[in-house]
Amino acid sequence: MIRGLSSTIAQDDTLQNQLVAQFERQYPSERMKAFLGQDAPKGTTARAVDENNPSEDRQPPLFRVTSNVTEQMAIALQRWEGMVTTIKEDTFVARLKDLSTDIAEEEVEMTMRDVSDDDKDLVQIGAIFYWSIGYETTATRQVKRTSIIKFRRLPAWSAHELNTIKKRAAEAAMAIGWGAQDEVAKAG
Amino acid sequence: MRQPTPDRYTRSIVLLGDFNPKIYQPAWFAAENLIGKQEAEGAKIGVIHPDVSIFSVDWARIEILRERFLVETTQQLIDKPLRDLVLGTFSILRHTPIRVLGINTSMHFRVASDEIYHNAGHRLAPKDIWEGVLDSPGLTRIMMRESVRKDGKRGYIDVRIEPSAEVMPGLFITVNDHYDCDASQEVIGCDKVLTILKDDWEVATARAEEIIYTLLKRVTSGDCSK
Repeated sequence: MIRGLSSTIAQDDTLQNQLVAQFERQYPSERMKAFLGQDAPKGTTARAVDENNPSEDRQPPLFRVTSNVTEQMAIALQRWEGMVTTIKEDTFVARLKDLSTDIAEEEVEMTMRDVSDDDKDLVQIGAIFYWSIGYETTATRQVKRTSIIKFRRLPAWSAHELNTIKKRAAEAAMAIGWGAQDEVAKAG
Repeated sequence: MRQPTPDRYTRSIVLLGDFNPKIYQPAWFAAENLIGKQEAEGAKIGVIHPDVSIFSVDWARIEILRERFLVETTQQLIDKPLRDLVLGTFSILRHTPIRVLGINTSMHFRVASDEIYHNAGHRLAPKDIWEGVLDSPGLTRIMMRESVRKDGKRGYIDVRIEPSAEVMPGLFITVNDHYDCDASQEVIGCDKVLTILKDDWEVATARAEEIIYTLLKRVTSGDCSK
């Protein structure tokens, strides 16, 4: 079973082929089965616990080497959540909330240069972003101060979600006596 | 008061249900605007296969098996985007049957000395009960479970402490915040999971960190190397 899967995975990919061969030599088949979830009957308590938190017990032996995530680490010193209120040519103004304290929101002007190219299109009025500063440990174990701005990416509201929101809003309006019974009926 | 800085940090979201791994490719996430196009182009592909899909972008690793969806990051700076990635994915694929949600936080801490390291083991598991049974007993792992959640939700919270395999001398502490969204095998959607992620994320992550830092302080008597 494992060999069949491995050979399928590896087709047309020399690097993958080498990796599979490397790990098949390095790890016993029982461990590979464990990673692929083929080692225990479904629904047992122990298995459920392990599946839900596989970080240590089930080190995926086969593919983790291709990830760079485990080699880099960043610890946050301070985190904010912001909302864009004004967009200028090279900067944008945002309201920032410090996520680690109860300090009131503050307004700041931030430069577009700090936003990744991928996120520049997301800079719109009302857009939510996360800003963190902290320390990053690189793959070569160097530690450096870092600052990351990441804009929130959520899909547009679906019709189902919009209907749910409208219904809840109408119910809330009715509950506080704003006479929105008609709205409830419409959203229903 | 500033908390000790972990030497290693991982946060992951794990979902158990029924998934189609082949869907979850960097190009799909980019097409749905869940990750950036440049991120998708630069993604490191582990494998894309009907049974397993694994790839990483510079801030997260994504691993999907037929029964399990996992995203994890080692970058505490990228905390909420991890949640947003899951929220976005299953807002689109909202008929995906998901039974279980796990929000997991793990940290490794170096401690200042071997003495503190051994004392931590003694505090967690006093050795007098082992006298005459083992000559030199040492704690390799301890796990405690909050069987009844205070928030009334179904599930539990597991906390595990063990010697760190990453830093020496050091401790590894992990919190598994487990939500049973639907015990039946006939669940047809993931609204419950999305609701928990939206409503409980900040509480769950803050609680996990509070548990970890409190335990670290207690078992090391506040003596941490950093």
